[in-house]
Amino acid sequence: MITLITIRDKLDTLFAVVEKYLKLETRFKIQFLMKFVSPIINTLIPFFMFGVIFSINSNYAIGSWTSTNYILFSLIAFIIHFSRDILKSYNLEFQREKFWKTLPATLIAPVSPYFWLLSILITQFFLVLIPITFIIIIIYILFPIEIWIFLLFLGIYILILIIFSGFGLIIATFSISSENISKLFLTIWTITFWLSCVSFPLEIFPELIQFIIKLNPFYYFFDLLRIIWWVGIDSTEALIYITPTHIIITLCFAISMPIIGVYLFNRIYKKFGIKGY
Amino acid sequence: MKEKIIETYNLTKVYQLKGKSKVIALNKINLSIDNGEIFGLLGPNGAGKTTLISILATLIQPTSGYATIFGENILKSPNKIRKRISLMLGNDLIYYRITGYDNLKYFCKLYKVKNYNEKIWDLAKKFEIADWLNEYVEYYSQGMKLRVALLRALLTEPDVLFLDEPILGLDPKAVKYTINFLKGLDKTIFVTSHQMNFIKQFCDRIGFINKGELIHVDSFINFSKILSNKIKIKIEIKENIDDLIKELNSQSFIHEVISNDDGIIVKIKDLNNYPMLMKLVGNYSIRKVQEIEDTLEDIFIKLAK
Repeated sequence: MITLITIRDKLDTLFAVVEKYLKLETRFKIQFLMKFVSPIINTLIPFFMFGVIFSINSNYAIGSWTSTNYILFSLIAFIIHFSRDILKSYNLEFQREKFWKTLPATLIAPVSPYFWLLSILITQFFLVLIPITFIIIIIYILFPIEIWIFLLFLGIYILILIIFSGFGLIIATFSISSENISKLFLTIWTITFWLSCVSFPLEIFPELIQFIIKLNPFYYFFDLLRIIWWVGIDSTEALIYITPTHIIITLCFAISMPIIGVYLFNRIYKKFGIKGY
Repeated sequence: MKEKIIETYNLTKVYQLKGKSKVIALNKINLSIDNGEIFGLLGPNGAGKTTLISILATLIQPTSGYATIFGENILKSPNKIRKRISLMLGNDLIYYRITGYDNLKYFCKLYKVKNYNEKIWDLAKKFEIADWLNEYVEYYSQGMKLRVALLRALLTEPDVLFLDEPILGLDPKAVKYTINFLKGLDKTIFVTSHQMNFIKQFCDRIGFINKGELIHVDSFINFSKILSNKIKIKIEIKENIDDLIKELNSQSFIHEVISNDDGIIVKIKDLNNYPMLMKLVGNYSIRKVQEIEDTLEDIFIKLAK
């Protein structure tokens, strides 16, 4: 039976693992802070480029993005860039524990492996929580929206985090059993990410590339996140851009990615010969 | 009659290597260990010691056979077992990039150890590591890492301790302290090592394992009989080595004479023959005479016979 004491016990265990990972992640302070440099550069460069384009002609539009809403586009790109490391977090921690030979200690401790997975996710979220909250506050000040749309935005953002973690878990399980395939997946992820229109609008690319981008599910997740906020500003214009494809793909991936990830993790876990918990 | 805590039944582990070759790491191991007993498993590298301890600690599964700990099958109820055991695999299982204290605190929290702070510092003082506990483990010496790994295993307050090579890298003083401390715990301990002296001093019963086969299990007293039925004396001589060998071989009290690079090893049948041997070698220019113990290899040869 679940009681308050058992819940507190489980939370204690969960946060013990989170605390350990936070200490490992922040051991080298400069190295930790450098993690934020890449998202800043990746966001600022397109931001300045659009700034120049729109300063020349304020009536110019790249698809649905104009001189007024491109700031929103860039700031949401900022959030995505900050969050994308969550995808690599399982891979990083599995690899570390594998080579540090600490994995058996975690695996035979009286803790569920799902707690372990959850704690890695929570750790990564803690690490990006401050910059992401800061950006969301800025967006809210610049582009205020109704609270229910804001909650919808947060819901879509959480779905994206779930997709990231599920996909990350798939890659990470390979990092234990087959590092070759894990590297292949990471390369595919890098290409997929850059072809998801996270930093540049779709319409800026040639038609062939646009066709390829439209086959990329990540394009729909990120596009949906941007449009949801835009709905709060200009619903009549923004709603045109939300298609059933956006919603169906996002929901399907949010459900399937963690299921596949956990399934593969269980298979790998059994490969270790570990049973139980 | 004492309660059996660990029992294995035809425990077998086969590793499939690349291609189609297989390695039998453990072959039908049958073993039982009593409550409160300190059992030592001796064997050379690659004998199957770590595989056996890992299976018993529910870390890996056997290919066939099974084992029970506290009457629970390791295959069916690993969770119940894990709460009551602790495993130390040499220097492994500790995080080098956080401090010794953070390591110990982390594992105490996982195992829900109450008043862990006091317990950590108390044990750290006893094992003379307290001054270093707030430093990163990566800066520790081999012996210090080992002590933290041992403390990690002890702090979770297990009923059964599984220790794999627990003294590798410790100085003699620390080894002596560790032996006395662990003996004082009055817990069931399963320890593996390839250091015969440590096992002899520490264990109630000893098992010999080689190439996955458990060759012999017996009390230390019975092993002593096997080991001491001949006395081995090592003689280092400056010159006339061949003459000495010839003379030694002609004596009836000498069991065997073996010549090697360091000198001569003489096996005598009885300790009473020792003065006769000394008188004989006294005629030669001797550098050093010392009694030596059987090596692990010697014991394996004896047991194989």
